[in-house]
Amino acid sequence: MILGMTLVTYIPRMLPVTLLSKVKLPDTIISILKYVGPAILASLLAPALFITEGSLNITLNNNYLLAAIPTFFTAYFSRSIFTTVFLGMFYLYILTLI
Amino acid sequence: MGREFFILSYKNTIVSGFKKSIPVIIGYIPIGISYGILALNTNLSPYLIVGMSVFVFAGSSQLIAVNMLTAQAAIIPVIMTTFLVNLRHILMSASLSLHFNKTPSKLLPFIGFVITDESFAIGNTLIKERDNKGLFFLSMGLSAYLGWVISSLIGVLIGRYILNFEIPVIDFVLPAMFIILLIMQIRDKMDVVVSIMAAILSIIFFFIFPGNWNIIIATLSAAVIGVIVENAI
Repeated sequence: MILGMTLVTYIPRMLPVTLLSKVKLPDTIISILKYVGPAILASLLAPALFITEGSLNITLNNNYLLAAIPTFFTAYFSRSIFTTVFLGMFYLYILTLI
Repeated sequence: MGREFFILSYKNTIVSGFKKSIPVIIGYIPIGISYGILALNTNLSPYLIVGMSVFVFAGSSQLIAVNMLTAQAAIIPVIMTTFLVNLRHILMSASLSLHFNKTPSKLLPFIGFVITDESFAIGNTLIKERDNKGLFFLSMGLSAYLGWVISSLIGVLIGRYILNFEIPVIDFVLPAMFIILLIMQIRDKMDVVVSIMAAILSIIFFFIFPGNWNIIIATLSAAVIGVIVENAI
């Protein structure tokens, strides 16, 4: 598994820079690839926030969903991984106390 | 003066690359430590956990892989998801290649290995006015890499030997990191539209497809729909 993961992480970031991207990709492919970044992160995030133990949970009991709201604002204004992750955990901690 | 001048100039480049990596390393420490602890809680072997940091070196992919393995995912979906999560590095790599036309070809495969969201973001803004661009990027990237490996090793050691604690908020590291990484990807309104579409599709597909395939299918559907909408406007 590690070998597979190593190859699929190494090859995409090594090949373009090594080949200096002299080949021009079709515009459609470039457009699709451009959306993969935001789309995959949203796809990963949504189930983590909205699904609790295998079922949809859009209630006030869903602390992850509630903590995500100030975390989004923190991410938007700080643009910092460090600040977002730490304050995100802090918000969740506050919610678990309530 | 020639040779000594160049050695001094290389040394300065390496030192300055290291300095620029410090904020990245500070960001990696809590994530690397959390990754180590989180991975250990899922009963993965310590060698596998640190080995992933050494060979894979992709923070979000490693956390996702650990998350998926906890949910009993098969190996192929884990590798496919890792591939899709890191697909964006193709664009970063292609865009960085514009700066390295004078860099020795021998260095390029190593530069490729140290491209991450963070090194790309810093490299892309700071590299323009520098000499020895390749060496600068490599020095910055390698320092960040060592920071990541050491952080995950510390996480494993804390989890294994010091405390076997379970802090519920540690599990929020992953969603919080997705939130900031998502925010960092957003450049225009279409990115917001595609993200919302992907989020909704991912939840719907979660209940239809087993084994985390929802992530891959939702991503590709949302990206393709995004391009179709973009062309229609």
